Amino acid sequence: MAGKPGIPRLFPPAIRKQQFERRILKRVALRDERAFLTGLYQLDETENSYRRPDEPDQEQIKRLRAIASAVRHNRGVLQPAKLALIGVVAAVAAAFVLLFADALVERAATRGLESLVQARVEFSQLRVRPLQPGLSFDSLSVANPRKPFRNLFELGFTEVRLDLGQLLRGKLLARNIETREFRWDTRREVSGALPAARTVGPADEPAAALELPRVDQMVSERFAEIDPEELIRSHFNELHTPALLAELGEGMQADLQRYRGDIPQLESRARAAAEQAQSVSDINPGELRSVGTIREAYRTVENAYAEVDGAAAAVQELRDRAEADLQRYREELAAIGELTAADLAYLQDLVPDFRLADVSAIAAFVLPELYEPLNERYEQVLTVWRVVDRLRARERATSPAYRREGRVVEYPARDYPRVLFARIAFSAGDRAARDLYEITAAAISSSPEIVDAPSSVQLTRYDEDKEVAFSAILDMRTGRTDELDLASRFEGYRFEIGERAGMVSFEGAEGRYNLETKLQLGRSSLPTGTIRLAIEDLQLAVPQGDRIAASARDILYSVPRVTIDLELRDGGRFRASSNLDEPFLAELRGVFEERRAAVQHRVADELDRRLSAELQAREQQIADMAAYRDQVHAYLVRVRGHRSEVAAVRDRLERRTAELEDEAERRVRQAAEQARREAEQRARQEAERQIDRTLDRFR
Amino acid sequence: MIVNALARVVAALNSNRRAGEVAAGVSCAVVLALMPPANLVWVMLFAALFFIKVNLSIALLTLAVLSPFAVLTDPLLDAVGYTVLNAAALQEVFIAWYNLPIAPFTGFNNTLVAGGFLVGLVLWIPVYLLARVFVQLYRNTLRARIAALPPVRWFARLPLVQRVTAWVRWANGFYQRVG
Repeated sequence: MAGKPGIPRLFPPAIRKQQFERRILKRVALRDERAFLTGLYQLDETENSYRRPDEPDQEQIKRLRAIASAVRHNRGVLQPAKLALIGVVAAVAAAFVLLFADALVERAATRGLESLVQARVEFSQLRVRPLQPGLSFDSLSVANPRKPFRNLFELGFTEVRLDLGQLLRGKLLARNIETREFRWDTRREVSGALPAARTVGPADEPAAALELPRVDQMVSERFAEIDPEELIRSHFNELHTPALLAELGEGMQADLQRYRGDIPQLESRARAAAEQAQSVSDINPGELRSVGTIREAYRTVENAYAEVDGAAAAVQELRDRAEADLQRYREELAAIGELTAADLAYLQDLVPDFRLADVSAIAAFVLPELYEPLNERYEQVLTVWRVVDRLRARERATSPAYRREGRVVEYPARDYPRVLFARIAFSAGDRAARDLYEITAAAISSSPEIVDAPSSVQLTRYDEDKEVAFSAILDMRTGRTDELDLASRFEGYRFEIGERAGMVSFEGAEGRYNLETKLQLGRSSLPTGTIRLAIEDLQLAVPQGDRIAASARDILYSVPRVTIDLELRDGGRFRASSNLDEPFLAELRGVFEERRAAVQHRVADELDRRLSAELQAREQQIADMAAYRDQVHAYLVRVRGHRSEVAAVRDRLERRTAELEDEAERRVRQAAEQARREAEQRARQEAERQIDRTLDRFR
Repeated sequence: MIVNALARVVAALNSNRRAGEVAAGVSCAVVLALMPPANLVWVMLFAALFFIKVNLSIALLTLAVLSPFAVLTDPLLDAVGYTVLNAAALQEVFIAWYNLPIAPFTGFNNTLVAGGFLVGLVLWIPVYLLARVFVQLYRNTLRARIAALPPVRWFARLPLVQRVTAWVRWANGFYQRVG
């Protein structure tokens, strides 16, 4: 009994010695409080206990309560009340998790997948099994980030069994995932685009679209009507003939202008020559009797001749220059023909030739129909590629996040990546009945380095006479050149195409095709691969009177199977070829050459039309120059006539002078003869006298 | 907050609590300060502070004071941890631990975690004994002398200090009743 009300039960009036010392006094930490207790209780050796001789007052009771509280607190090392509280909280939390685990996991899985795909992910009836770790859901749809109203794929009821041990190590390891339904590229009622607040990181860059060889467009452009006027106008500055004609025209114009300035000069010279000739025409040499008179007349005539001869020389020079100019211009105009031919050849070369190297006309004929589905598959591959890349980025980001980092010592262990789906399988139908839909995926992981195996997906689909086989191997381990290796085969598919206009127009086409694709995507992220399209049972309806279409149909019908091979090079560019390229190109080439010749003929006509006016103008200038030359020649004839007249007077004067000189010579000669005879006579007489004297002496 | 923490420390030192409770708070804080946080071992040790009878105020204050300086011991802790984690005799044990489900979250194979934990454990007893001696010395001798100092007496008579002291006393009583 505690005695007085308010005294804690720990402090009754008598307490056994052992209990007081071991369970009370020892648990009082403060020396003052221990002294208070030993003062309040006295040891009774006979009873082997402590007794309280007096009742405590209110102050002492208050102090006893505090001590009792401290004694209780100082008992033991655990805090049971807090432990119980935490236990209750843990139980409530566990119950909460059990009750709401489905919703929580669904939300976490949805957000996780959405951040990977960057599009809406929707689970239906996701259930978590905590005891046998795993989950299942009735359906899952993953929207296409590029096409918000399409799903990348949909799964039906799916069961995922997780490895508990690895789950406790933070690894999501599913050894087997079985699904009962699989569909891809399905339609959505609501947009699958994520709201801006839920997107993580920047949006994906739009993938570069595939570049198919646009032969159709190339050929159409080359077949387009060419306007000769426009062709010549746009290249006029590059032609030589018009430039030369203009240059000649300017030169002749300048020369003719100069010639016109020479005409008065010619007239005055001719008139002066005529006057000179007239002035000497009155001289009659026969009437001149003395040499002095004749000499004076001769000088006058000689001066007149010199002037008239100078005028004649000047006029002749002008005539010779006009003749030379005329000759030069004629020669240059004659050379225009060659130049025009060169210009025409240049213009005709501008008419496109039929050169379609490195492309396939047959491929161009078919590929426009394939472009959309091929590009769509290409985009899907790139989308998957991005998802995988994000998964890898997360794996890389899982290094310990200690601020004080230290070193991590690794020990041998069977390690798993953060996420590993060892096997995913879906199968429906019966292979024997050729109604089978089977998908198997293996080693889908966030770290292929740890798994040390490539991820793979195989799809097989039989539907009556149609067959689809698809295989994807994604090897992202270090040192692998081709990370993504895709192969697919579609057999027995029918196609039907409506009316189409283009290089080869047709009203309708149908047939059956097989498609085989092989695609490799390396670390450079530039895809390479091949696609082989084989078309059988082709039926083509072509428009009446379309020669190309009819030829194309004949060529297409000439083989049992049309094969088109596409080689995808780096950067999404295709090289195409087919087994009908040569005959089809030859046919196209024939048609094209005909059209080209016609265009070239029209270009020649147009050039001739443009140049003929200029040529006529130049011919007129040539005629003007010839007329001028003739006019100068007439002046030359006139001046030469006057010069002849003066020359005749001079000749007569010269003859008269000669006559007078002959006469004088004759007289001189007669006088000399006479003198000689007289001298001889005198000499003979002298000699005879000498002889006579000599004889006389001897005698 | 600092005044509150100091007041609670003073209250803990003066309260009728075992000296070992305060000393254990200091020792546990030393272990926690030496280990880098964000691993399961650290979290469990920290959670244990709430379930065992250690003085939480002293522990948290000591942890707050020591943590910034713990980085100075990293080279020593790293060397100790590396040596222990690579000790040939312990390899089988560590390999077994490493393959346990929860192991990746404990970070025991990190040299700072292992080194900090081991050095903390070694230091736990001396720190505990020293702290306990200090508390007893304070309670038996220093407290009366400090309280008798004129500046302390002047300080204790300030109205604000009296109000804070009353509040701390009430809070301490409430804490003791609840705890």
